[in-house]
Amino acid sequence: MHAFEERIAKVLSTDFEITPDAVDSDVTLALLKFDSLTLVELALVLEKEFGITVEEGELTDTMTIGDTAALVAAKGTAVR
Amino acid sequence: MSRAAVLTGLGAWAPPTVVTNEELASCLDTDDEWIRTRTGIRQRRVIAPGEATSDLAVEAGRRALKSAGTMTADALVLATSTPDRLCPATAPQVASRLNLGTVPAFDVAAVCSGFVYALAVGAGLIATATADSVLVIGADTFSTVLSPSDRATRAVFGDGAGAVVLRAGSPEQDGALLDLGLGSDGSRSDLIEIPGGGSRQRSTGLPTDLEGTYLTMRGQAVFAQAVHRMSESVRETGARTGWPLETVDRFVLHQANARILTATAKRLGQPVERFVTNIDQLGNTVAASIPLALADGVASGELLPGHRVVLCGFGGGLTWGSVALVWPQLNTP
Repeated sequence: MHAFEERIAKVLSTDFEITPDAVDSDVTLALLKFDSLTLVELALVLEKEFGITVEEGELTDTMTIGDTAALVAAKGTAVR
Repeated sequence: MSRAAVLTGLGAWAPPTVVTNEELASCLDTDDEWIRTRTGIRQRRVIAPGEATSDLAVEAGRRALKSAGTMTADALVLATSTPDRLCPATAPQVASRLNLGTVPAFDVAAVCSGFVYALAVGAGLIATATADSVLVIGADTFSTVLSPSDRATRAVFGDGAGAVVLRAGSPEQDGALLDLGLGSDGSRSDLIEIPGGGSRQRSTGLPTDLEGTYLTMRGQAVFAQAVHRMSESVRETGARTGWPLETVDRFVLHQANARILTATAKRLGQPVERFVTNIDQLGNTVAASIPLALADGVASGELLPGHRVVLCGFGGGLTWGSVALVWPQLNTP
């Protein structure tokens, strides 16, 4: 699993009580039960975790964990 | 010695009529769990038919004056976005009903940041020696501007009022307002608005459409903005006051939504247990939410004399602001 995906999986486990077993590159946020409110919460947590800014509507429930990691990567975050 | 505004009295008032989540569920497509999990709110208070914002403001103001051991104030600043009438301001009537005489009295409209803005105005009146004491009230009756069919806003908002008395003193005293930081971003004024009934709509010459007089709120964007702005504002006020956030005993933020409070605490890296909350009982009472939370914090023993406290508001406009103070010993009625 990509390093960003692993860190995202950790965030999902710590902040959203989603077991790492349920997280895979191809799993969509919708499948992980993210709704409009939890998507905003996820965006805020990702901002803090990766030191990035996530714009309104940038994170959607049709995105997979792989897409989410790609979004983080596109913002120029360095792998820690 | 420089002159500071010192908080010397606190009062709050919420109307007695309770609306529970179950009652809302009986007439809207919602249920207790839906509301609780999304907002943390179990019930809210609403005014009776024919009542108005001034009625709540007078009750809260009376209690704050009593708490401060006085019957007078040199000025009254009322934070509200739901005035009794569009014109004139509500504050003069409140001052009159509190027998404050012909003191200066005016409204401040900064929606949910209104109380912090009004504190800044009150502190300014004291700093310039325009007044030696100021009654600052936050009062709103958002139940009067909600669409009966909008579950999102009806679940969130409640009515209430809270007030404090500021007196001229020194910055060394407990209760002195140590740092006041305010901000706004009018480019996002559409996030929380009541579009109808104002000059923009009336100048069209078309009759006011009832739907246009109801509050609209873009929940997702408001959530993110609230967390961003409040966490930045609290951080800046902590830094300017010279208080590392770990040394702040209590954060009293605008009671918008329990999940906004949790997300802000997380962003600030501070335990949510140090954030005073009463949103489950009162919902979002707009300009009244911070003084109502202060009153509940004192009543529950969460907020104690000597505590380092940071207050922070965020609301429509967009507007935001924070203030730092050491909580004083008060007589609360």
